[in-house]
Amino acid sequence: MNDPLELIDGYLEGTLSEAEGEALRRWLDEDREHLATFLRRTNLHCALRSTFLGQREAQQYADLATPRGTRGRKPRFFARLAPTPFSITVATIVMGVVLTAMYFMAPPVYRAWVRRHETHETAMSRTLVARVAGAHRAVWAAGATPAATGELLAQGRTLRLQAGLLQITYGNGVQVLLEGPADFTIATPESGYLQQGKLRATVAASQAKGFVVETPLGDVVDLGTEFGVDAQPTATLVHVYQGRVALRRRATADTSTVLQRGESGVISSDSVALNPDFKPNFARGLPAASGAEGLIADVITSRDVDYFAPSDDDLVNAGSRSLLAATPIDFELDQPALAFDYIHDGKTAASTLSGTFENENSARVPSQSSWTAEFQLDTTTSAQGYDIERIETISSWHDQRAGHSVIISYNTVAQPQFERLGVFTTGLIDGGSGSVRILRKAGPIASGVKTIRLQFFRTSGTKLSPIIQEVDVVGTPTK
Amino acid sequence: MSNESEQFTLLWTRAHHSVAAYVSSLVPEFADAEDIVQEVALVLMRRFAEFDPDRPFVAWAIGVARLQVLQHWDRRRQRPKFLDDALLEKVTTLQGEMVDELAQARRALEFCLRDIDGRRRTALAMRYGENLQPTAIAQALGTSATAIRNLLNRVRNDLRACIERRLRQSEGPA
Repeated sequence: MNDPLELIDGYLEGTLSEAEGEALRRWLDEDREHLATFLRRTNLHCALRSTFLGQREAQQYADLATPRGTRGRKPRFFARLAPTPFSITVATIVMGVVLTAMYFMAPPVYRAWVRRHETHETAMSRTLVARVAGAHRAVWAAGATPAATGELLAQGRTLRLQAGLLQITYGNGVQVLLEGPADFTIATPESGYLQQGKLRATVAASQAKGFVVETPLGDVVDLGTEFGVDAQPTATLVHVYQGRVALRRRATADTSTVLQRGESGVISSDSVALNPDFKPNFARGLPAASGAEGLIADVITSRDVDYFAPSDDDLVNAGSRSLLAATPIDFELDQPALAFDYIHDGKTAASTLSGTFENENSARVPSQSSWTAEFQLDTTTSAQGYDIERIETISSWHDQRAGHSVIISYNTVAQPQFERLGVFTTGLIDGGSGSVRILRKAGPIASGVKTIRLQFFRTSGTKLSPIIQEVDVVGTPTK
Repeated sequence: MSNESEQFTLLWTRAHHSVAAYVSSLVPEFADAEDIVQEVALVLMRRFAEFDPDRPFVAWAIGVARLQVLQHWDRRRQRPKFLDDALLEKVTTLQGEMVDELAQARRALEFCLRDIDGRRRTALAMRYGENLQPTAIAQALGTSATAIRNLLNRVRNDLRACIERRLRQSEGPA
């Protein structure tokens, strides 16, 4: 290892020998530019950590595929408390976790303590008044500072959401569901300013009566309730789902109208009035979990491939109305009998119990690489895409070719960028059949799905190519 | 938010990437480095009244980080042998001088990562997102640890080349 960059990488990976360390020191001593190269490399190491720590792309992999004893170190105390992207939130976490935990857990005690101890640290902690409780397909406006789930939010923080949903929980328990596009500012511990866009606020009567949503034209004052606000340039539209709210116009600050459950109102520049024609369509909450959260991955093995009957309601079977296109990527056809289309033909190969291993109805993964199957669903028949309930991949052969690993990702009608569900593996199977069956604990795996992508590769512990028999994607049109 | 609180939040938000990068250059193990950065932030916050606003905040923060790293090395008895005092001083000084360049590089990295996909991205995600060592990544992907180390080295080289290209483009013609 003589290349200086390799020496630096060896240092970063903890594999540098004493002699190599000495060689690195001599090289660093030679020239200031060498030292600059060292810092550029170590900074890249740090920046990659920040980036991928936030993305958690390999979380599912670590849960399912990592052999015991080989996992990375578990997150420490701070990370477990607030698993937010390091690059964005370390400052907030450090300043906030220890001191503001009390704010969220025992507000009266903490507030009393704050009154007695007006130190810098406590003053700092008081400014953190809410946190991001969750998000769904959140797209941030250009130039906006993203807020990650779990991040503590300071007074004055503006959230500029271009699309998607963001759930915010105030320290007093008030929940605000922001619906992009929207600009919302955490104004005080008991209020927020909705510059434009929609939100739904849920305020338990016992927790935070008096919570205020300010808008450019007027305020919506909670009287213990659940309500939606749509701030538009010429009008603020309000609907009450539970309890009551008071509306007041910005120009007067007088409480003009109180809305009861089921009523709608409108604040304009010159009036506050009931608005019976308003048809509210505020988001009710974050949809079921997305990404790797809540996924169940069953691995089933059998000596008999017939055990795995392909699903009849498979969205990606050849000839299915729901399948627009099936595309192999990097697929190497080394034998005509091992064709790509066999993995979605609705058939598995011959029983391994019978002792016959037919080459038909299967596709081989090259031993040294991987290939990808991409299934594009037909959105002319279902414009909203598809709810995917179950995904199953089946492999079967003799020797050590019966297992497989697969990375599954998908995109949706609304979000062309692919989201990765995770990396799944049957583990090593020495003859017979194996299946990875993926479900979600509650609800569909994903909604509005347009394309599903499966990248197959071999399992650890063997250099033999797995034989993929079938892929099933079960679901229904999104309604 | 008091003025002092606002000021600290603003300064630390701007500086923490540089501090994290500096600490990582001396303590490569992620969890240790992240713990040290958290300690640095707490020390800075407690001692903020001592901060001289005429000095660059990031220089002050890096100075505090240097002391925290030295304490960490003492506690663990794990100081890298090649990082003697003279080299440590050079690293500390140069990190402060390169703050702007390294910040630009971080922004460029966001764009360069868009070109990394497939197996290369999976390996990066496993190494940096899950803190898996090359041996564990190799077991999972069915290859050797050496192959993973080489793959990661190549990806880092490609990213560095991409970053330099982007930085040159942003400078424009001379």
